[in-house]
Amino acid sequence: MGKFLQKGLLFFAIVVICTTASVFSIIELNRIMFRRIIIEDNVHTLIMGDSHTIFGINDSLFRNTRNLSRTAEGYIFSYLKLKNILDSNPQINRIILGVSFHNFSSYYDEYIYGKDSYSSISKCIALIDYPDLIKLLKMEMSMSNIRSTLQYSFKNILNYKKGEYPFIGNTNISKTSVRTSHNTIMKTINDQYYSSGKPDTISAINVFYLNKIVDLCRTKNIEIIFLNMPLYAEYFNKIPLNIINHYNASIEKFDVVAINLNNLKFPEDYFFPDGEHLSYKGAVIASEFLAKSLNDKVFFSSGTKNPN
Amino acid sequence: MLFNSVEFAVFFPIVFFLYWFVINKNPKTQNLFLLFASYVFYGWWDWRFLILLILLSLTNYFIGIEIDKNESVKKRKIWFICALVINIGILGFFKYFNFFIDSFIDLISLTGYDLPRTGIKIILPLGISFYVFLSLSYIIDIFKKNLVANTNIVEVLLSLGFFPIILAGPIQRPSSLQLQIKKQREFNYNKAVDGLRQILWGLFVKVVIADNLAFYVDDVFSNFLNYSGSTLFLGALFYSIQIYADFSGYSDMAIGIAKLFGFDIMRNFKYPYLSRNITEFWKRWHISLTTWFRDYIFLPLSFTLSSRIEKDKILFLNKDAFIYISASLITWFLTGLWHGANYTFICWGLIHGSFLIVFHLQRKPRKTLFRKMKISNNNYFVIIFETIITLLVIMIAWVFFRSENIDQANIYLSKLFSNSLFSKPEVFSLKPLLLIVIIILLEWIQKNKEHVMQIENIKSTTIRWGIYLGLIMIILLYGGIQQEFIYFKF
Repeated sequence: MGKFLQKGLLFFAIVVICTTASVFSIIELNRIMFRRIIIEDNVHTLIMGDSHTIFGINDSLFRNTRNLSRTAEGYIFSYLKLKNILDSNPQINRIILGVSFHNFSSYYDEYIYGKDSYSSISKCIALIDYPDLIKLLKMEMSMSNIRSTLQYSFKNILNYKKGEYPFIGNTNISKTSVRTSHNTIMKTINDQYYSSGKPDTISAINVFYLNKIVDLCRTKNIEIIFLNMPLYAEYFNKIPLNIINHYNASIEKFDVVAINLNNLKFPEDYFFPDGEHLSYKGAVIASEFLAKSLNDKVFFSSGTKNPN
Repeated sequence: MLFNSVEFAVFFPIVFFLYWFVINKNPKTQNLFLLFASYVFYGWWDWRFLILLILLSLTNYFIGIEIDKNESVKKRKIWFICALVINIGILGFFKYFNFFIDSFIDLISLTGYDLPRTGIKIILPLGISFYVFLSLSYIIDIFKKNLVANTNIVEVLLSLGFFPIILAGPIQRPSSLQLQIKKQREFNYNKAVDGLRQILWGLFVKVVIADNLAFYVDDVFSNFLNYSGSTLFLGALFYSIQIYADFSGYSDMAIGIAKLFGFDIMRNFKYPYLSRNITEFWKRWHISLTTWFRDYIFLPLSFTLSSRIEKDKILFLNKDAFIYISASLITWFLTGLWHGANYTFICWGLIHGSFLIVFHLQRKPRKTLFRKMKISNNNYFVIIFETIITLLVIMIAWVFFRSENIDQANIYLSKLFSNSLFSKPEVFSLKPLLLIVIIILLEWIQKNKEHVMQIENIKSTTIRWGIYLGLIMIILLYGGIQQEFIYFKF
């Protein structure tokens, strides 16, 4: 028994040392590979946000602009990305940030520190400091989540290509012909605003980092524009009032230019079935509209009106 | 509590330490402690169902004594039937109530009457099929006088609720477990190390093979209408490996854990996909269940039919063939039903039953043909050909097992066997194929060992430890997203 315990403890110690060494190596290698982000010199405007701006804004229609949106990207990750980019890319002078109603709902926390967060955390692991990383992992400490974060961070290293960053997003315009579906809209509304069975509260972490993004841009003298993408009327009408009120209050509080494309009344084939993401048709119109707005400096600033 | 959970990683060392260091003097205290630990393990999921487990075990304990002490055949039979009704009744209520009610309503609706659905949702207690079968074998063995009823309540309760095997087997016969429970247990270094190796291998195949394949299988079976035959073929192949890795991985962990407490649990898998025919497959797959059905259903049924049938020929079959076919079909119908309350499982069971019958009937003609053609039974080409054919047959049956309903399985198979079977698969990744090749190759190399990780012949400690460490790192970096064990549903 003594021999068993002695060998067992020795092996356990080796496992702990090897695991710790692997974890640190993975994180540090990510840092070495992806720490400094270089954006093309001719890019002056960045579009940041989540799937709304991925599907809705085609950056090829804009001059000197690049869409860096990434699916389900919480503002903490947008902030970390932006902080890093602005430090090493002084040519950037304007940020267009997707700010929509769903960004204020606490369902989003799942993607920041909840069970679906491993993808975002692992992609941005090079940008997160150790204390913040520990804080994020501790908020929803599940072994499976931590393991997935580690695995995906490891994949970043395996898939390394010079000049490509796992946390940098892009435009993704699908040419598939689609239209809205009542059932999918209802499911999306339930997932995004009633994820716990009752109306969701406000996502404190998203609000906190939205503040930090605005402060960062102001400190660096960079213009920031909030962009609310079009939503299908049926979807918009189902958004709980507390979320809409919070959105309006935030726009007012920040006192930034806010382009509210939600005032455009788009038909059902301009959307994916969920009623919140633009289809190819919708994306073309929305992008042209945004380009014209930026060019003419004519902005639809109020985000409060019901499009109906 | 799952074997691959954090809770178990805390629970297990505590139990292990107390068992061998604090209460190691007396098997009675060890048994009492193991019983307590087993109930904590089971009750962790839902303490209400722990009460069910305890009550059922107590009932079987008392009925076992009653059967044993009565000399009168009539009284023994009454107690025996009583136990059967209670055990099967509980299983039937929790597992099959909704199925039978819904099937009855569907049957009535054929006549034009529509009865309302009950809407009652009964939660299936974890491992109920396993512990009811443990209890049944205890009672049947006492009734058949193969086992003397044990009057030590702790020993009986422990044999019916031992934590490594309570949730998903192996269905260890209480007779053999009780013999081990009675004995003073000494710590055996080699056995404990072997147990740890087996646990590591079980964890590896579950987390790396089964959980990674689950991603592809779920996608293919959820979107089977959109995929070509070649993709559906891969889906069925991946599922065949997934269910094997999932269940054999669980069994390896269970057996390994039992070894660490000084117990020998029966082997549940003997590299089944290396089988040359369907009979061999069932001697290697879920052995504890197959032998249970063989000993308690198939053989008694065959003997009963044999003693009651006097004619030499029934229909166009001779008596022996008729008995074999009837007993096989009934046994496999019940085996399918044991897996779940769905026609897909019954269909899966009957497919296997039919293949076994066909195999049984072709044995003599095959032998004659081989002799005439001067083909050796040990010809490598024949072995490989038969192994592949057996795997394909089993794969087709798994489609029924995995499908939501019979219609889905039929459509899946008709799409699989269409022209698109030879097209380029839409879902293709080298990773799952690589995993399959690895598992089959390692099993082939270690086919004469009890489990793949029996590597004591490697004398160098550095190499052995390197292998363990490598496996742990692969589990950490390549393990799939955590999935529940498939057999927990049964």
